[in-house]
Amino acid sequence: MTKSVMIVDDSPVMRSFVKRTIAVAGLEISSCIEACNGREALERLRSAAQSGTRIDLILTDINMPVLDGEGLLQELRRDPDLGRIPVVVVSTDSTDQRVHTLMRLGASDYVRKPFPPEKLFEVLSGLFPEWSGP
Amino acid sequence: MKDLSHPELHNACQSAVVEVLELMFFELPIAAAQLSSSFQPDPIAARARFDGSLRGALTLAVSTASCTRLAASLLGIEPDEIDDLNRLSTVTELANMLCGATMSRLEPEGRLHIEQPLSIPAAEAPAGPWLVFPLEDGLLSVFIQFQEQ
Repeated sequence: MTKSVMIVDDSPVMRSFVKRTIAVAGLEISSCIEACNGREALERLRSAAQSGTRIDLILTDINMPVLDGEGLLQELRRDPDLGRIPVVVVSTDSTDQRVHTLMRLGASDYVRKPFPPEKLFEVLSGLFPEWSGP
Repeated sequence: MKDLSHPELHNACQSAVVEVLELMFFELPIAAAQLSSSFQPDPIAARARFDGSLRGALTLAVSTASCTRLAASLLGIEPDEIDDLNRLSTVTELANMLCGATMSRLEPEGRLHIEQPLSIPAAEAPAGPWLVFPLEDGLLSVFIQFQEQ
């Protein structure tokens, strides 16, 4: 089964790294939308929803300009159309306080950068046991 | 102000560099890191400021050749496909990860906010002490200075 994924990070190399790591883990992506901050992510998600395109998973950084990952989570959980999409946070900011706040805001899981590819695979397969390679 | 001459910060930075290079770039320094009053010529540099329980900045300088190889490793493409944008993005992201990995070792229960790392001209890089890590084809140098809030 394939999944459509959104990757939100202001670093273009990190967006590429996350996308490649998912592929290397053998998890097949049907489409991947990228955004460089929370505001752009919301605009693209709403546009996708209007055109009937389903997004199965959002992977987001926290520290981003314009609208950060926490702001994105808050906006998503208030949105009736987008509120149920699982959100995995991938960030360097891994203090206990921050992780607790993000989980309370509705993050599905948290991956601390740096991470081995297996860690991302473990989290994603936990969220989507049916998700596998071709 | 504390800097990398402080043993606890020195050790935290050393562990963080090894962890980040190994997990994200699949390589390790080829020799032990040394404190130095200067960094290498021809670097690509970035600075990440942070505040919270601790307030300060991490500056990172990486030799251009090493930066090209690290970017290629991160992106999974050939070094000759790497452009300046890839190199800058790699150095700023590396500064971001090193900052988080180092400071969370010092203050695992603390608050930490890392500002968006910015690339800086080498001429703006501070005087030492730098912690310099030899890589296969160049050097990776880190400077950190902070104070407790």
